[in-house]
Amino acid sequence: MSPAAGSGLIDQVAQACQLAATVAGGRAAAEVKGIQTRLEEPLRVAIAGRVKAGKSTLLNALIGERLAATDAGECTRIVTWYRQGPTYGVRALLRDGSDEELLFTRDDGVLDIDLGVLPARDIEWLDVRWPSGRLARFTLIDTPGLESLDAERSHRTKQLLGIEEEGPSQVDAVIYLMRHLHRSDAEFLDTFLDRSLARPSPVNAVAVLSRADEIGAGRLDALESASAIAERYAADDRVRSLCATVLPVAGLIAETGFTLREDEVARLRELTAMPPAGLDEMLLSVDRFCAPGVSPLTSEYRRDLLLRLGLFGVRFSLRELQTRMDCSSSQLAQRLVEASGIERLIEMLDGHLGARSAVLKARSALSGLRSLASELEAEDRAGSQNLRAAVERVEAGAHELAELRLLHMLLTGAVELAEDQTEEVARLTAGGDPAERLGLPGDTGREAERTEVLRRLEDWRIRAAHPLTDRTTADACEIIAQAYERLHAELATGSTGHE
Amino acid sequence: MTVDPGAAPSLPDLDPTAVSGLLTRGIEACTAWQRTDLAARLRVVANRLSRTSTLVAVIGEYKQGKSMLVNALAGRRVCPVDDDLATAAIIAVYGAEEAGARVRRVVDGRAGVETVPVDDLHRYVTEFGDPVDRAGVELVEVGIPSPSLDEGLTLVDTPGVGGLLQQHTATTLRFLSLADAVIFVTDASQELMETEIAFLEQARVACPAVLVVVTKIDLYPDWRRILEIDRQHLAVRGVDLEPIPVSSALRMEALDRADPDLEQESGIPDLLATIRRQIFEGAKRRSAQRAVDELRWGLSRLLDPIEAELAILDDPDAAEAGLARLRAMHDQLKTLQEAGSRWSTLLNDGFTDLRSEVDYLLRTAVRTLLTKVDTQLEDLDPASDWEGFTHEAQEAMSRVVGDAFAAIDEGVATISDRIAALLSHEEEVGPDLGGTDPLDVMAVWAGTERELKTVEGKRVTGALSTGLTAIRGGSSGMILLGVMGNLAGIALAAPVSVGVAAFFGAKQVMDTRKAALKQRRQEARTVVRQYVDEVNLEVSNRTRQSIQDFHRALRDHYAVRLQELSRSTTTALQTAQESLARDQTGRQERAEKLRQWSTQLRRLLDELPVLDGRDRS
Repeated sequence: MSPAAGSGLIDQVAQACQLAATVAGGRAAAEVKGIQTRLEEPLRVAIAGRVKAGKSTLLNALIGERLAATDAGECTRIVTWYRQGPTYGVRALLRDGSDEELLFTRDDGVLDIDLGVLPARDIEWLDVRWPSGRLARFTLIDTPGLESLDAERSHRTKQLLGIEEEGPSQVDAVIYLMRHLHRSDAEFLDTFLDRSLARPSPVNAVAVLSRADEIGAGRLDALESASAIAERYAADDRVRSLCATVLPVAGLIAETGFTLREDEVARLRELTAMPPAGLDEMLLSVDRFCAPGVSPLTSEYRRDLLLRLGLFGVRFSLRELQTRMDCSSSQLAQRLVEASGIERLIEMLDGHLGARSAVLKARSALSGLRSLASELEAEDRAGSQNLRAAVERVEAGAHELAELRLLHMLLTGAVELAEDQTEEVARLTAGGDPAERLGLPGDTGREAERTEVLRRLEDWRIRAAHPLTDRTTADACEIIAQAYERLHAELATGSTGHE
Repeated sequence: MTVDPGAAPSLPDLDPTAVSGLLTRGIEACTAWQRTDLAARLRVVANRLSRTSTLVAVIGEYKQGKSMLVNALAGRRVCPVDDDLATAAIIAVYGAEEAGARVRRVVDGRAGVETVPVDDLHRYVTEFGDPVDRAGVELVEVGIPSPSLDEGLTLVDTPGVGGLLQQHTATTLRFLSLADAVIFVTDASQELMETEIAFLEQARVACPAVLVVVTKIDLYPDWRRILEIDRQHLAVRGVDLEPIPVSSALRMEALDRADPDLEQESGIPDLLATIRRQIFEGAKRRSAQRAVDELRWGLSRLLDPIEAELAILDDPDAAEAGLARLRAMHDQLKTLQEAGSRWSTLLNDGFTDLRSEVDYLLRTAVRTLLTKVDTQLEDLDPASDWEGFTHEAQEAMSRVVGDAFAAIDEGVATISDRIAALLSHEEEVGPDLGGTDPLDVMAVWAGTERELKTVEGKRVTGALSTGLTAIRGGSSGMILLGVMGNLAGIALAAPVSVGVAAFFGAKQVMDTRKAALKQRRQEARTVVRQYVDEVNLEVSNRTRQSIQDFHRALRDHYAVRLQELSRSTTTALQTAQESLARDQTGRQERAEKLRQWSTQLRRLLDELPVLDGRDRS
């Protein structure tokens, strides 16, 4: 495998950090340290959205474990980071800068964190360390809902995402959950996205149409309806200029699919043994489903099933078990995961965000250093100017950042290219081995790849020079041509490729 | 004789059933005295009382199940329901003997009405509906046979707050003040949000009755907890409302199966009962109040000639003077009914002034708005803040519209006050009869002026005694709603260049950027001007039309009453002259009879409940 796109950039940013360390003292030194370690850590992905959009449920589904507490009422009250750790541990970071290890228990898998005597308002954020494969690639951040009735809580989320305060955001990318496209959703996306890009960007944001199973009153075709809605949203220019795509995900179905237990399947099977008329009557409403005495299965068990699967999930599972007599527990779990749409989101995270994680991190770090330089201006004018110059040098020289901006322009429609050309550029800038970046079969061979690169390079140069091409598009074509130039150089020196 | 002296004592409270009983007796009395004019009008009043038009607006965020709820309440699938598409027009559903729908739309500034099949509504009312059918739709009225609607309940389905209403909050709240009640819809999937509670707080001030309904309880196992949390949120904010849980889907299913248990489970019967108790009965009482006012007027006109004749018979010495006075009154009323009379001049001048006042108000408001927009555009880049900018412009425009309609409302009431005052101060004519004065042209107008009361610190316009409220209120609200619907259809599109962000930013040559910014601002200015022009045209058409309607209604209102008075005077004059021609015994017999009638009518008048401490009998 080739190194991820932007690893050279990371080195340059690390050097800028070293320079910053020599300039900064005291509190600023700690900030530099923070920026440095952040470069080495996995990409920080925040899960944001309005109250009860299903953020914690989706987080659990992404980790594949039932960790975060989920509940009918507003649940997540403190920003919580879930990151890869060698052992299990929970730490509270306090407002005064100190931190404290916390005790926790697990209730049916769910973390029950004991805040002890700590008042919740003194806690800046919670740091959950957990050994988990998925967290090795991403640090996931669960946030209290925006527009929570508790103003303090939504303020915390905005603080984290850098909406309310000047200065860089603490996260590199975001999964934004929307239930319906609502005016405040669009406003939120607008304010969230990185100001250093001047405009909101689809390069680091993915939208999820969450609680997809509840659309259409939990009918069995709910997810088809949800897909159609997500597609319509994704086709909207306004939405397209804010996030990469809109994916329908039934978080609850995914979470339960990943964590389904044998005893739960056995109870579902018990229900399928009931006379169909009685079962239909039960499935009319949640109250009927849980009513005492309507089924041999106790109403507590039925209620548990409902909480785990929702009315749609119960209907879906019963249909699977009824129509496929040989459906095993693991098959049912697999069917739930497939139906939930979570797999497409994971693919999107790995592909769209994962491939660019170095560039996204570098960009976060640079914007951090930039704001540090402004902070230092008063005390050390020369040092501050040096630092700013260093940041600008990296920014000007880094083709990865130019490519990111280019992609941003293409995806937002600021520069218009044919659809296949946009795809070509997205592939080219995504990283991976040359064949992948060129969209050619893996066994193409070095020579053929070089020929293809030269051909395309020529094409883009011609486009850039064409008298009818407007200024912005010409600039874009030039960036693309340069990217091909570099790829050509890489192919020539063999610095990347099949090792 | 229909008036029973042994009737029940006067009512302490307004009971609509009792009032309609009184009305029946009043109508019988009018018929007995051959006052078909009075009888006919009281019949209209009785009809209105039995079918009190009550406007209930169903409001809430996007996709909370508003249309479904309207359907469940009506017991019929009237409003189109879709997983994805939202309702984009205003649909008023009311009870009718036969199902039928009318689409009101404005095309090229002309309002028109067309009849459409009830089953085709989706083409006219959903977003992305048929583009031709959707064009310019102001309002869709659907009449259906429905037991829950046949007493006069009108349900108004609205587009979601997140969509249309948020852009027109000012207009919405103005509409709410004209509706009889609001049903606020939120679903059981999650607790109330900040935006929803903030809206509820405002709605509560604007509208006399608000219900909070939690829908989709068939879907969410934890709906009881959500209900409890909602209740707490409301309590914390001091919003004293009890959320009502319902499942629209279960009611429809229950009706299909004719399953009363399931229907009870849906919560809809309870909601209907609450609507009846908290909304409908209040409206009915107000309607009964108006009916009592009308009845008092009618009976007094019946009594006028009887008592005038009686006064003349009782005091033969003053007979000539009495007759002279009646004649003078007769002449005076005749003058009043002429086209050039003072009150009708006042009416016409008043409406001319009102029309130019509203025009002026619209013109200046629009000019101020445009100036503000120009100033804003001087230091704003439309590329980066188009959304916020358009939102502000729309909000400002919607305030202008709301203010225009409020000015009409206020203006009409003022004109009516001035006419009432003028009529009550008309120069007294004819010799004084001394003592009791049975027929006093001036006195009948006293107290018909609008009364301003203070309810919970809020200035409200009190009911006009003789039914002017029937002209105002509801209809004004519907017009405003329609205008709102159409405003939503007027797009404030982003200028072309705004879509293309100046992304290369700092790396681009400065003057190219400046030129681009200048172009963007110019385009933004043009787009806003177009939008304001369109809204302005639409609104001035509608305000002009509604001023015209009010003008006609107010003229009829006073003309009809003058006619009725005039007829009373003529009758009095005739019967008095006839009586004077009788011999002594004949006169005595006549006087005795008149006294009996007078007592009976007075007794019926005494039975009328006294309202709001206003006693004009």
